Amino acid sequence: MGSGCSGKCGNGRTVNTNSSREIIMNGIFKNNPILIQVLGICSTLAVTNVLKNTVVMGVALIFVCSFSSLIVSLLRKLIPSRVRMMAEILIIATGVILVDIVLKAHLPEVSRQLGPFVGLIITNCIVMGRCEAYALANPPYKAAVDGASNAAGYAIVLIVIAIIRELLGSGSLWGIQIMGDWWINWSIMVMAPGGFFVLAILLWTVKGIFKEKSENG
Amino acid sequence: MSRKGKMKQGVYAIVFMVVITAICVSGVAYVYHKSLHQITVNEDMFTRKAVLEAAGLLYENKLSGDRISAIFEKNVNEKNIDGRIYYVLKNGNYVIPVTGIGLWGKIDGVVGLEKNLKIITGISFIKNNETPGLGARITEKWFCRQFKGKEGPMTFVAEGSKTDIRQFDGITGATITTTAVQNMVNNTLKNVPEIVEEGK
Repeated sequence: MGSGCSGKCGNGRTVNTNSSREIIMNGIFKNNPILIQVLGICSTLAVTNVLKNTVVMGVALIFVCSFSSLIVSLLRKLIPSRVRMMAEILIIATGVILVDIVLKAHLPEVSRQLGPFVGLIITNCIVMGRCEAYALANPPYKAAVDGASNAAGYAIVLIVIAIIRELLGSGSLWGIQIMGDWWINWSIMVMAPGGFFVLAILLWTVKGIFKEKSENG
Repeated sequence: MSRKGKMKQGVYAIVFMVVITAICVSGVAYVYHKSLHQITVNEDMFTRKAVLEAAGLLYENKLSGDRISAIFEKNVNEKNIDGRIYYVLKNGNYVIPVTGIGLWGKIDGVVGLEKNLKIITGISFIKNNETPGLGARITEKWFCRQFKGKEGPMTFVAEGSKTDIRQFDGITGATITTTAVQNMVNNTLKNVPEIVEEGK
């Protein structure tokens, strides 16, 4: 197979992991797609101003990412290396459209609010990144776990950001008013700049803690 | 690699892509076909709900789809004049679909009017692409309900201020969306006598 790139281009740490536990810890913490790899930032900024949308987005991404990793891994010996990216995108797009249809049919309200963002999962670098870096070189079960845990890492960070943004920006969580009448909404939090600020502060904090730990340990 | 080997590889790549595309497309088509009915039902239900809300006929929060359909069919008559749709209610009031230009895209909504075409019975929004948490707050209940009993031409005041009969509370941080709503309501009040006259 000409997919030698998959091992080299990806992060060396993930390719060599063996146990599912390690794969999960890597995806969620050690190699968190947003905090460490800084991937999938566009959707992070776009959907995190309301918690409900963020959770749906996270669930949708977990599905798409594990689904596409699983299929890519199943087909990894069949996919010709020269067209592997085309094949990957096709598989990802199929998963995304399925999610979009299911949301439209069963959660019409949420689907309305998320609007084009569900479709844009196709362009989320995490999905393709995991297919390229991991699924092409690893067996299906591990690939699916890897996809799901990376997406979960993404979802967790998104939810943290969304909690901060919705609470400060609208005084509510999941649409339920939390802050009293005294609270004045920080309008900037629900706009794009608010996303940049919260994400940057979060990245800074986490990297600060992480760096300190590795220096001490 | 020999020329033949390369050729073989190329053909394999093409065949692979064709096959996988066919599989993916048929999978999606199958699921879409299966869900199409539900999706259309959802869309219709949303419009029906909005019409009833604008007409002031929907008081309860959570009604099942069947209940909404029943109320709709009992009270509402759909009129289609040269492709322009509007709704006539049993009590003589009207609900007029209207489109406005928001910050990010189109805003589709309906405005309910009393028989005399001057007093608003309510408004409701069917589709918008406004910023969640800011402009998208136009879909909140308090915002839509404040229009009941008011008259045009309307202007808006800062959120939380007292309003008179020709004013409504805007949304802080969403002036463009609020202006769009103002125009939607005012245009409806201005254009609707003509539309309804045509339909008679």
